[in-house]
Amino acid sequence: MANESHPQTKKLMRIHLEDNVAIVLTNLTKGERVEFEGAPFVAPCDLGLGHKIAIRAIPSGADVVKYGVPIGYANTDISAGNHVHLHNICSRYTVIEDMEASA
Amino acid sequence: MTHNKTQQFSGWLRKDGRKGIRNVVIVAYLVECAHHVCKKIARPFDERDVQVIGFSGCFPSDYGQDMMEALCTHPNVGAVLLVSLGCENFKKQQLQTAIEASGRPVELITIQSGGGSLQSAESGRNWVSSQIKVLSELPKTPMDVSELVIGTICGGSDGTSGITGNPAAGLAFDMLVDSGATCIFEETGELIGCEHIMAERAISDELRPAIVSTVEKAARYYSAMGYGSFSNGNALGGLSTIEEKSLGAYAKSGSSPISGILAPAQQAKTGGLYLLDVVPDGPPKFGFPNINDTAEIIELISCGAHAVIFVTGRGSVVGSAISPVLKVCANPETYDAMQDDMDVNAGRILNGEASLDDIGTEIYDSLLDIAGGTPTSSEELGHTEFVLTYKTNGPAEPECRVS
Repeated sequence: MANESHPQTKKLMRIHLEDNVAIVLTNLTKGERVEFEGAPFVAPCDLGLGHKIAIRAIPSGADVVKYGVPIGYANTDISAGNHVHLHNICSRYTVIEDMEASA
Repeated sequence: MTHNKTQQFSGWLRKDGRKGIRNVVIVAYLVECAHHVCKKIARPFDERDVQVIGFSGCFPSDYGQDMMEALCTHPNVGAVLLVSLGCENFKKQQLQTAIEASGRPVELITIQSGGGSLQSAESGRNWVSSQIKVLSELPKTPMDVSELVIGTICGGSDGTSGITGNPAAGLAFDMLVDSGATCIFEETGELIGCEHIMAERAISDELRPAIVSTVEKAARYYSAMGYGSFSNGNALGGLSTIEEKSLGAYAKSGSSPISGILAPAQQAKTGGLYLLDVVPDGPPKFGFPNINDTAEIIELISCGAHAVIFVTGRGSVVGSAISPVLKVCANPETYDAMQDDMDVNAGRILNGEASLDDIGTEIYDSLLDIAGGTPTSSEELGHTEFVLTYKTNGPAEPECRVS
């Protein structure tokens, strides 16, 4: 679970080489352009620090991988650049109820 | 990693041989009906000197009894005033005897035979005043980092907790374990999904399956309750599943071998890293294992934790009765918004201003300062939260649980 080094300008961080999601390191507004390893991404919605976007397409049923470990599976096809959150990922353990259906 | 702080400080030696880093007088209610009188007794004194804890329920509880005994004989506790209404079911003589046996001064006030609220409060305050004087004159004794018991918890977690505060706390834990200290991490319900990687760190072959089954038990328990240990704030902060939250939380444990599994109110016999099993065996009986962060902190303290590292992303403000809580803020925005409540700004890692090693060392150094008497932010602010509820008593499969 080693962290990559991340200079201040970096807005997306992948924790583990096998991850298919990156973490947003600063608040992003919808439409904002960010780059990750040379590839351009456009923020699909306003995204708060700590949220995740897909850096590769994740087909329905495939693992969402962060820290190099599955954190659940996609319950729909997720395109690269999409926000990955309660609406498109399912736990293999306890299902999370969105208390305020706001995320 | 270099330890640039001295490993020695001074604490208070109790008559049972344990050493504390605080010198607290506890005022303890033995049923909720005595809580108000306890508050009246404690109110004139500084929160750092006199703190109120207790067990609210009037029905008997082996767990409540064990927890109160462990807390009232905690090394940070110098003296205990027990306040009973008189008709509750708590076994107050048994608790008083246990505290006496530990060598701590103890007094029992029963409100029904002590003249009611006013007279009980007055005699309670008089006893507390006399004990503060006695405790303030106790000589201090040298204490080494290897004698420390440190717990860790995360609360109000968000997407930053698992990449800054928790791994930094894990590095501090590695330094403490290397120094011979006892470190305890917990909330098996927040380690769901990590059981197999965690089991690989077990110190013995017998412990490996016990770690896996402890987490599986937590998953079953929370599943039966209908909710995982996951809050709305976790989701707002970018966490999507219990596995994701767990992996972030797991980083707090560092990378040392896991020496054993503890139950609440149980002390480790040697230094090393321990997992606290907070989930009762069997089907749910009294509700959620720990209803909030404070209930978890109190269980860590019941295992002897002198201080607790609390990593927060969304911004928790709690401290605790009995033991200081060191607040590590994982999220730089939260730190800016709530600086007075925080001790360490781990969010600097995200801004590129500090490395994980820097923050790990800062946490370790801060703990030694706290052990030497420096107050934490939550102590400065007078936080002395306490929660103790009903629970089934700890698990009974002894051999592989504590080494």
